Parts: sequence; C-alpha cells; structure tokens
Amino acid sequence: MMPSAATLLAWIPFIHPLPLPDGARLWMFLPLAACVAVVYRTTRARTARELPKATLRTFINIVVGMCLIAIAAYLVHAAVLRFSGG
Amino acid sequence: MKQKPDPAIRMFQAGILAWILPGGGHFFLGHRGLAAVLFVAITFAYGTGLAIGGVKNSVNPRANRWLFLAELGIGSYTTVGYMVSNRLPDYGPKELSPYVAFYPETDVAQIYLAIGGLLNLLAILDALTRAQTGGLPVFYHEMTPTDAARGEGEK
Repeated sequence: MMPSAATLLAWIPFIHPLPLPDGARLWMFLPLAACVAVVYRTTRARTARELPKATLRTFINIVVGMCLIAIAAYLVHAAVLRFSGG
Repeated sequence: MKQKPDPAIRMFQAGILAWILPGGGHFFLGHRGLAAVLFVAITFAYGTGLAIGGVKNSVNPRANRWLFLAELGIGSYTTVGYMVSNRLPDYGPKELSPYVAFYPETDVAQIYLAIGGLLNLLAILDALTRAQTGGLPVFYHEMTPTDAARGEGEK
C-alpha cells in the first residue's frame, strides 16, 4: 500500500518508524553483513588502504557462510517433514 | 623537551572518545582514515535500525532491556535516543501509536541497533589496544617482529 502525500509529509525520521517494503527483510542482511565486514577488517588493519580488498573477502565469506547455514537449516527442516510424515 | 603522554591516560581518553562517538578513539590516536570508516559503518548500522524501528520503543530499557544494553555500546546516540524516546507521548494498549513499529520492522530494527552497538564495542577495544601499543591493531601479538616494526612505521 502506498502512503499518501500527507502521511509522507508528516513522517519524521527516527521518530516515526520506517515501513519496509514487502520482501525487503531478507535483503536487509546484505548491508548489515557489509557493516560487520568493514568494522572487523578495520580492527585488523594498519592503514585504511588495506581495507577494500580485505573487506570484500570478509563480506563474501560471511554471505557464503550464511547461505550454507540457510541451506543446511532448510535440509534439516525438509528431512524432519519427510521423516515425521508431515 | 616535549613530555611523552602517559599510555594509561591516552588509553582512557581513546576509550571514552570511542564510546562517545564511533571512530572517535581512532581519530584521537591519529588514525583518521580508519576513524572515518568506523564512523560511517557503525553510524549506518545504528541509524538504519533507529529509522526502521523509531526511537520510542527501540531506545527504551523498559521496552527491551537487553537491546538497550547492546545499544549502550554507543554512548552519544543512545543517550540522545533515550531522551527523545522519553519525550514522546505514551499511548494506551488499545490505541495505535504512530511511534511504535511492529513485526517485521521491529525484528530488523533490533538486529541493526544491537549489532551497531556491539560493533562499537569492538571499535573501543581496538582503540584501547592501539593506544597501548602505539598504533598497532588488536592482533599485533600474532605478527612477526618485522611486520610489527613495519606497522609502526606506517602509522
């Protein structure tokens, strides 16, 4: 549902909650993983120049790791459904 | 002759500054680039959570005390958020408050806020270590003496 112009004008950031679009919940993981990768790599860097490559590698590691965990959880869920007769 | 500052005092100052503002400790220690990166990354996580959840229930120890504890990793943002949260009017249980988010927004907001606060704890620990070691990151003890010497030179 699209908010009306009056609702948008009355909206104050941080005071009024921001509604998320449908299906955005899962994708919100990516910016958060990027933040974690950046901060983690910053604590292990000597200068800011080392960051881009190392951060990208850590970001990919996190995303791939989370995808593998999701696949494993899905397989366990499917197995439970199959063997419990659900 | 200029006197070298006491490392304990420097550590304390860096820790307090890092707690008040993300990246503040690193900026104080002279790591301007790292400070800017930390500020942007941590502020983005915390700000996104706050925008999605709104301050009323997101920065409120009565609504979620464990979340508030995690948020306390960033002193200034949480203090300001708590003060604003207290100024917003309360609504009755049967009234729909315009200041309160519901599922699934609350879930996303809480995760972002908690991770923002906890990431700043990591940044504070790093600032303390760098103040103690003269600029080397947290894993300096894992480095070979040659690497450590190179790290000090690059500061």
